[in-house]
Order: sequence, then structure tokens, then C-alpha cells
Amino acid sequence: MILVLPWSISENTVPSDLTFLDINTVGFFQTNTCDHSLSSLVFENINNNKLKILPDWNSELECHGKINGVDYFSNNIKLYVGTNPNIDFILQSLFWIVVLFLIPKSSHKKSKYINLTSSLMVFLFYLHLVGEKGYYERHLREFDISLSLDNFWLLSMLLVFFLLSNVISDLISSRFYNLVNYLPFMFLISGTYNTFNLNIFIFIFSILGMNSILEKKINIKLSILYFILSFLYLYNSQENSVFFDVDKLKGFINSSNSQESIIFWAIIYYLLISGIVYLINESKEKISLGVIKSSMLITGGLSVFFGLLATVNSLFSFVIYYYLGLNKFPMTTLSSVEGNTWRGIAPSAEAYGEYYAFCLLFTFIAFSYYKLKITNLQILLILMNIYGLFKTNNFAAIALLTFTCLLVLLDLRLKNNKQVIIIISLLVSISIGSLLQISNFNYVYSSKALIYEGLSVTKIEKSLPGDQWGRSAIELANFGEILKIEEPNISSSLLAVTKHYTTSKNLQYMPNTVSLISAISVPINRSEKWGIFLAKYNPGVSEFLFGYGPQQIAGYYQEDLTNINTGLVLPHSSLLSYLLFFGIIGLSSLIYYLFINIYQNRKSKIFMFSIFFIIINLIKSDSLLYISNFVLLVVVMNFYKIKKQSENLNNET
Amino acid sequence: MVFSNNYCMDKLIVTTCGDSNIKFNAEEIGNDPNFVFVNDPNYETIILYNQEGNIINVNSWLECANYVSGGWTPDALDLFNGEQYLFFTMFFLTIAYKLIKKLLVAKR
Repeated sequence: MILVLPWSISENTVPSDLTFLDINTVGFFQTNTCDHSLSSLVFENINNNKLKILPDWNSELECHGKINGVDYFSNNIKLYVGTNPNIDFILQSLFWIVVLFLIPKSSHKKSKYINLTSSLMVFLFYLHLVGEKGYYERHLREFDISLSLDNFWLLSMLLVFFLLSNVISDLISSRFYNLVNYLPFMFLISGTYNTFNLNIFIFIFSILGMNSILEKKINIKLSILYFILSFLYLYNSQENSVFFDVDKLKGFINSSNSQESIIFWAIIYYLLISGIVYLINESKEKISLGVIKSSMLITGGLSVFFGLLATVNSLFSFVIYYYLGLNKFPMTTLSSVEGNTWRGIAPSAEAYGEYYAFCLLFTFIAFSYYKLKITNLQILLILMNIYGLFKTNNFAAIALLTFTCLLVLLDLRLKNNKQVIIIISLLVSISIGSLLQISNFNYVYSSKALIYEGLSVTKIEKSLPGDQWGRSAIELANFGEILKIEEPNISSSLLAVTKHYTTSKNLQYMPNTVSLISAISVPINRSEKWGIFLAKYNPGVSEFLFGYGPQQIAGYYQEDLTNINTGLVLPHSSLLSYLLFFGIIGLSSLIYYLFINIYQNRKSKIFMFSIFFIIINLIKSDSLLYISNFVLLVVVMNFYKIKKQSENLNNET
Repeated sequence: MVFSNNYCMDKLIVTTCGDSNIKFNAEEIGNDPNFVFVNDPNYETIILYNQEGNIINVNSWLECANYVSGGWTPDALDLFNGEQYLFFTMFFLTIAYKLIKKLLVAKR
């Protein structure tokens, strides 16, 4: 019913000679909008490869699921199906609640505060709408957040949200101890709303986070410190009408620079982490590596399957996008488009490549250390995951997967620590050597590449001296010329890096730190992206120290210092993203905490190898900007808490 | 023909006011305080209603399109507010959910 009914309601029938969409029939649907349901055209157009079905976000309530417009463009037909925000909210939530319902029941975790948490969630939701009204005003014609008794658009939305929070609270309380085992399914059901910059998993973990606060199961000192930092984010914010086009980051990024949106995301980020940690702490006795492994493999296999299905026709693509809550429309072809790797249903090929590789690694570790059997079905799923990894073309993930598996084997075979260290050193040296060989590494160029790329995209207003062949100072790598300009129009970060590279005194036999990072960035294909980051990242002292706030990227994007002002140019390193969010102090604290955590729990094999794999990948990928990868990191950071209970190990379902 | 970016609204204008070759730009009219709608003797007067129950007679296609895009409708029966309907449905659903839950808890 949820899948079919919303797209089938219509009083009118399409004349039988007009059901196939082509240049001759487009006119009929352009004139008769909001009259015919999507289903009235589906069967006749199932093989219509010129058709692309897209949502019309601006739809009125009565036009939901109906054909709201058709465009004939470049020999292709774009069919716009009405999707109303109120209906989206109900329909998508309902589908995901049904999916949540499929998680096996566990013993009941009673929640005493359902009405309170639901009311607080409604308040947060309203805060979100106020904070990001720029985003909604652009997309929703009827968007109105005025608090009045006749604003039924808002009232119905808030009421739906209250009911949704209630239902979620009840559902998770009866499945609480099983939830962690099924978290990998977040990579299949992304849970992002079609018309909202929100994600259902944010609500779920926020409700859990609120419960953790109300049950006083939080770290008080860390919480106070975080909220002091949050005031600094507010202090750093510049209230203006900056709008950040969320694109593939929809549902887990701030689209605005307003104080309300900064408060919203600061609270949500806190609740999200508190919720995940609370869930793991409370259910650690019930976590089953076997079930997690199965969930991971099934998710990986199904995401590949749906990715392939979306390429069959546009209807599948639309349905998969809508019901899986994808951040972005799935790929409609099996090949790369405009240089972008095949990503299937994923918002990012890189992030899902990491996930497929992690599934394989986890299965290997579970098999090697915990003797978890691999069934025939799982072999098929492993093959599908390998196919997914191959299609996403994530070379770094493949290389790191191979390397980590070798480490696991070494750890299992060799008992002598010295032998392990020698072999690891050899492996690292061979890997680096091969990488340098493959990339035709040239240290002289590579050590300057980062600054060169940054300055190349910077709008330097004053002309710099060049040579007799017309090459500029930047092309000649005479970066010192930039420093001679009084108040150059370049970002503070690029200026600092250029100064450090040009003027700092190097220690003998030690490379300049900028040169070293630059040289590393070239073979891993990050010099351009990190160079652009430097060119755009223009923080003041306070922003550099404390950041712009969690999930706050609009401040970074508002800088008009480069020629790259269109499209989504991300930092391509989660470390750099977190430098934006939390500043150098926040980032250093996180890294420090992570290392302490790793050191203290170094004996937990599954934790050590998993965290190693994920962290190395994060250095060169933006994965932490996607909620599923973010949750995966937080869960893996808590892997050491999983009890080694024999009954859990083989308890696969 | 398409007048605005909203297909439903275009449809509503055509259904209510009829088709026309006149270019309709609601923003332009709204921004001009001196704009006057000129009566079209060939245009049959249409009565429009708003949510508060007010009534207006429109005497040109442009005037009609302008009021329809502002939420006026040709029939008092068409004052169906989808969101209002949804709100009351959800209101009763929420109460029903809460009651059923209470009953189930009491049964246990």
C-alpha cells in the first residue's frame, strides 16, 4: 500500500493513445497537470529509455503522486511527479517505520519520557525550520513558519513530527537491545527526506540521546565543555543570508549560517553521539558479531543490487530514491558519468567503496579471530560486495583492505613482536615505493603542488612578475612573490602555509612540513582538492581555534577568494572537514582522545584493525559528512566494549 | 501555456480564468503600487472567494489570474485546505494512537 497507493490516486484516466510519452504526447501532460497519477503511465513507459522521472518538490497536497509537469529536452523527457512535503514526511517515515518494525524484538527498554522527548523533538524541528528557512523558501512554495492557529501547513507538520517521535520511541524501546546489530542497514536505507534537509536516523539517535541525558548517563564534564564550545560557534558565526546548496550531503549538513541553525546542529550533533554511545553502552551484552557481519554483507549486497536495478529504468530509479531516502538520485548507467565513478545508490562512490571494503575486512577478521563461519549465501554476498568495491573504483580502500588483511595474517601467524614490526616496516616501505613508482613521483614538483594548486585557483588581484615567456610567478613556483604584496587577497590559511614554506628554516635532513604534506598529497591524488581547500579556508583566529560549528560548512563556502564558486567542492579529507567544524583545538582533542582510546584498548583485535582501516581512509575522504559513515565510525570507536561471549558469536540470524 | 514555475497553479489559473496569451507576472504586479487592472468588456465577470469568505468580482483575465495566484478560488466549496484536513486527521490519529497504547499497557 505504501509503495503503490500514493502514486495511484486519480479521478481521470489517460486516453489510451496518449499513454506512451514522446514528443507527440508531452503537450497533453503539460496542459493537464495534476490530473493523472504516476501509475497511469507506468506500464506503457516501463521500457521508455528516454524518460526520466523526477520529483516536483513544490507540489500542493492534492497533487502528490500526480504528473505535475513534463519537459521535452535534448531528445529526452523529464516527467515531474508531485511530491508534497507533508505527504513526504508521513509516507517516507511510515515506510522506514515499517522497516524498523522488521528488526526482531528484544527485551523491553522502558522509556519514561516519551512525551517529553517528543515535545523536545518538535521544538528542535521547529528550530531547524526557522534556522534553515532560506533552504526551504527556495524549494517549497507553501513554506510558512509563522506560529498561528490557521497555519495548518506548519501545524500539521509539527503534529506529524510529534506522532512520529512517539512511534519511534515505542518501536525502539521494544527493539532496543537489537538495534546495534542492524545498524549496518543504514547504508541501504539512507533515511533522508525528499523535501527536507533532515534524516530519520538523526531523529532516532536524538531521541536516544535525550533519554541518555534524562537517565543521567552522559559524561558531564565533556558535555559542559562541548556546550562552552557551542557558544564559541555562535560567537564565530556571521549572521548573513549565506545559503549552502546541500546537494549530496542532504540531511546531515547545515544549509545556512543563521544562529538558529548553528544551535540546532550543535544540539543534534551532541544528541547523535550521546544516543549512539548510550545505545552501545546499554546493549553491549547483546551485540552479536555474527549478526553484525550478516547485516553488513546483506546491506552491501542489496545496495549493489538496488544500484544495478536503478539503471534498468527511470521508475525503479525514482522509487529507490524515494523509499530508500537517498541523498541523491541513483546512477542511471553502469558506467562512469563525466569522470565520476559509478556509485549506484550511494551519494559518494568513495564512501561506499570504503563501506564495501570494511564489510570484507570485518568478515575476514570475524572469520580469522572469532571463527565465524561463512555460509554459501554469504559467499554470494561477499562476491557482490567485491563487485561493489570494484565498481566504486576506490583504489585506496582496496589497497588498505589488502594491507590490513596482511596485518591480520601476520598477527595470527607470528608471535614474536620484533618479527611483526620488521615485516610491517617492509610492507609499508614496499607499498610506499610502489605508490611512488606508479604515480611517477617527482619530489621537486610534489613538494610545491599543494601551494601551486591553491594559488592557481585564487583570485589574485595584483599582477605578479613572470618570466620572458609569459609564465607567471605561480607557474614558476616563485611563491615568495605573493608575500611581497601588501595585504594579498588570498585566504589566511594559504598565506600561512606559503609563508611557512617560503620563510621557515628547515632542520637538516628533515623536510619542510608543508613540503611533506604536499608530497604525500600528490600520489594519493589529493593535491588539487587540498590546494583548493587552502585557497577557500579563510578563518580568523577564533574560527581557526574553535571552528564554525558541527556540520557548518556555509561559512567556508561564503568566502569569495577563488575562481571555484560553483558546485560542491568538498575538502576531500574528513580531517579538514573537522578542522572546519571544530577548529584546531577541537580536532587535536578528538585525535588525542582517539589515540588514547586506541592505546588503552589495543588488545581488542576487532577494534584495532577496524579503527585503523577507517581512520586511514578518512584522511583522504569526505565520508564523515555522510551520516551512515559517521555512525559507522562512532560504532567502531566503541567496538572494544563488545563482550566476547561465545553465544553471541555464532548467533547469526 | 505556462505562466509560473508551479504547474498546479498554472492549471488552476487556466481552469478558473480560462486560457490567455497575456503574460502574467504576479511579482511585477505586486511590486507596482499604482498598478490598475483594466476592465475587459469581452471578459465575463467571475466571482472569487478567499479563505475568510470575502468575495470579489474580477473583470479581466489578468485580474483573475492575479487573485487566483493569491489563493482566491471560484467556488466556496473549493476552499478545501489540504493541510487543514491533514492536520485534523493527524490530530485524531495521534489521540487514537495514545489511547490504544494506554489500553494495551493497561491490558499487560
